[in-house]
Amino acid sequence: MLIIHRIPTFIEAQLASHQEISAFLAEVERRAFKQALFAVRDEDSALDVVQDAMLKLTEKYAGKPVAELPMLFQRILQNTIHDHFRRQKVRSAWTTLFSSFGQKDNKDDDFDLLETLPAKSDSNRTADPARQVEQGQIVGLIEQALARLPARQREAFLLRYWEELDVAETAAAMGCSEGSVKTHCSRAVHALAEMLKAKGISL
Amino acid sequence: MNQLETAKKITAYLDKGTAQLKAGTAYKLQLARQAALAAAGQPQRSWPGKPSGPRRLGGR
Repeated sequence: MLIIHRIPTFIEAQLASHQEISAFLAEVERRAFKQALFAVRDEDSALDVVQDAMLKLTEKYAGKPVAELPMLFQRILQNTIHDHFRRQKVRSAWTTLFSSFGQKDNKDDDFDLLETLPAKSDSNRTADPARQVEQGQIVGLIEQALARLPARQREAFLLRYWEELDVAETAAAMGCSEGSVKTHCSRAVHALAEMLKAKGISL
Repeated sequence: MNQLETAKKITAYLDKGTAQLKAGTAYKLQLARQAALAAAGQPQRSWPGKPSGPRRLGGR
């Protein structure tokens, strides 16, 4: 008689629940948005990229173990950013054809007062307004410097040091060798330090 | 220059920038998360030509 054993429950327990995926996305969504923004340089497009990445994760990989989510999400996010550039390339080819048609400047229509307010956050608050302004300026300069890095260097830097993936995970997310990750990271850190030094910021 | 140390200092500033995200953007990200979680329980998209799923928050 054939006895089919049940899959041990400890394996089931490791699979991500709805709440765990929700908590995971809540934890990474802001950094994911910034990563997308550094790459695509447009807030609306960055939001679309993050939303698409979140959808792909929940639709296709919801049954994966919790421990795999950070790596999976980063891979999806990077692919979604690349897809954005591919679509943009195709779109720009078509819009060039029709560029003679009139353009409407509707910047004012998109104004949203909410967009001008900083989000509530209790972390990283400093009491001294002058220090806050100074830190805000440094953050701005660092973000500008990061946006000026070559795409692969920025990708490697953010995955390795900001998302804290190890070299192998970063290589897998980027689809390159571990040696390339190390080279990209080294160049990125040196380039960032040089760019910031040129602006009078020593870290 | 210590590469890791410099990288950590830079990412600490990036964290500060992330914490100062605009309220509107943070809210849109929250909506995106909710939409993604809601879509997780729904059947896969029916056919390629049919637009489905949540509205794009970025408006594109």
